[in-house]
Amino acid sequence: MLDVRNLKTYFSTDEGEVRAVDGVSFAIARGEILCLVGESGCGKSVTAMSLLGLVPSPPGRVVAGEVLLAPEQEGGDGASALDLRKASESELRQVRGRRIAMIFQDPMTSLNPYLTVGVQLTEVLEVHMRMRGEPARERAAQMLTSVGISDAEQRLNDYPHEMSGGIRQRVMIAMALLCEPDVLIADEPTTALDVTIQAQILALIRQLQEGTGLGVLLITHDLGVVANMADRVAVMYAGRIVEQGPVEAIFDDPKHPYTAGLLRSLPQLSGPCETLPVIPGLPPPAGSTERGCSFAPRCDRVMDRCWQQDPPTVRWGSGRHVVCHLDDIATEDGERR
Amino acid sequence: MSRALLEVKDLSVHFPVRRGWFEREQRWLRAVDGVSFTIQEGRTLGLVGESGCGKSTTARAIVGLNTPTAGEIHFAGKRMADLDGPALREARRGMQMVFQDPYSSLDPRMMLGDIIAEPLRAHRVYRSRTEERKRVAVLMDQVGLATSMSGRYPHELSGGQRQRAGIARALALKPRLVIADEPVSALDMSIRAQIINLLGELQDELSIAYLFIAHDLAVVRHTCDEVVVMYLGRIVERAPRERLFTAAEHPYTQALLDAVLPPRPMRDRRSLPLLGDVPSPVDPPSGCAFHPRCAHAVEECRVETPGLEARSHDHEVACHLTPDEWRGSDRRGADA
Repeated sequence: MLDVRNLKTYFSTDEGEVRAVDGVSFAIARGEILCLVGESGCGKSVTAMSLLGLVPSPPGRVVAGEVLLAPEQEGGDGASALDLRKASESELRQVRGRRIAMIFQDPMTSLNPYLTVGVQLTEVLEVHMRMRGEPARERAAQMLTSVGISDAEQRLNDYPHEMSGGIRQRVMIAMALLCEPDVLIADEPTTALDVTIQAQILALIRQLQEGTGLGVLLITHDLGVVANMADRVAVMYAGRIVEQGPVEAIFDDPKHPYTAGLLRSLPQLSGPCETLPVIPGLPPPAGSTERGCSFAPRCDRVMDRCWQQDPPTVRWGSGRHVVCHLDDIATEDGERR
Repeated sequence: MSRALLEVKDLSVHFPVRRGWFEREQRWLRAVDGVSFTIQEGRTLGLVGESGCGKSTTARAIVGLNTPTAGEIHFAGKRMADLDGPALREARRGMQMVFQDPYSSLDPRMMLGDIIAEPLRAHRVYRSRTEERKRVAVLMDQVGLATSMSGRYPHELSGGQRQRAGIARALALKPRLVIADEPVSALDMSIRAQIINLLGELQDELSIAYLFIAHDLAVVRHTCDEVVVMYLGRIVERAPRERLFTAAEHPYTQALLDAVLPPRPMRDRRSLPLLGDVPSPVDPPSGCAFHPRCAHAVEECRVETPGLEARSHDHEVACHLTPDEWRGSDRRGADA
């Protein structure tokens, strides 16, 4: 559905060029949830913004890569994929909201506080589907009901501040799915919510996604969310994807020392309750490493060559890959490139 | 034998609210409503619940940032309400706070060294700058900050370093109780474990007691000896750590535990999340405040407010039903 190849987004700052996204590749199939996981500043949100051409420019600039969106009709004979990086601004406007929708962490900042929810929902329908008046209002109410909001008709007259955080996020999801997009990009959609409300919203996203063919790019820092939502996972560190693969493989057998270290350091509800094994140090700003592996300063298995050479990518048939120098990663059936 | 360091007895904090311009009737938001607990010297008590449950208001009342409407707070054997002037200052020195977002709680125009020294200066602990500087160096070392960083400003630090600075400042006056309000929830995954471990090491070293406020139960399990669960201003369950995590007796505690997403893929996991939102504390539901969201509520729950009752010597629960009665009975289907 969406195929991202070697995406690079650089920012120019007083201290020089920052390679916030430094050669990121991933693909989202129809009906698949891909989780992009990483710590703050690793470039995961910039990646999402880059896909839709939303990187503030200046200072940001998408300098390389392809963002291929499959044609609308299934099968897709005749029409070829659209490269969003080459698309014109008007083509992009057709894609945003209509074919690729996005939701953010804090719905309060993405909803207009001066307009009722009804006005904001019907506006989307008018712009993208040329739907107005009563039919639009009906469609909006129907959408609110499907995201689990009761008294939808009544709620259309509410302003965002009259709703709780959980309900506001439901409204955002309703707005995002109004035009039946092919891809939903959700950037930390539950981070600002209580755990019980988070569970509700995640269950809702899964329920709306199952059986519709909607592809989801879920950006999060929470490995619990990843484990419960993802079909596939991409682990990002300092502007690059260091490990990618099916969710079971990543959690059962993490191969990159960063992924393994993160999983070990998580406080859990069961198991021993002693000092947590930590990854020492701090994550570097994305793209600050000139040469070698950017995780090397924190890695418990660092070797001489990690400092000097860029790590190779080791690939498996299952769509898994790991970017690391360690020999024992490649000695399994992986193919080194 | 440990002694009670902090005793909170029947604490209530109510805020006046006005509904409209012409409404005469005074209404009250019962943020905290009859809460009691004890923290022993050198131990950690976890205070958990969803946002709006009153956990932060409780903490603020303990350090004197909110005035209790009713109830008593005893710290180190003294009733806080009896103290004033120097005696109150002295008692306040003994309890310090660490906040969730160290960025908004550190003065952006002050250098790190001054931020950590500020409480020492406010309480005129040292006469000479040399002594003060020595103490700041010790504190920075204790929290794992290089002394060379004392000339840095908060914006030059990472989130983890800022939280370390916040902890160093809280420790400056050698408190016996540190109230930590969501100290790790704003931090990155790899930093969270570092700070959790740091808090544990400091406790071993300095035998500080913690009141640890958090919504993440997995974090609470790694830090606390005892846990208090609050819902809409009241305690619904209090139990020692292992008991709470293996044999919770309140359906709300169980729902919070179920909402924690384990970092293990489980494709078949489809446990029903807790429905609905926390109701408004201005207009709480009748009976047990949790009954509209409880999958196991019976008629009695709608009518009568359950009191906090001892189920064993160290386990208290405010629920009309026993776990045997509510486990396995999901009345949501039957009601609809």
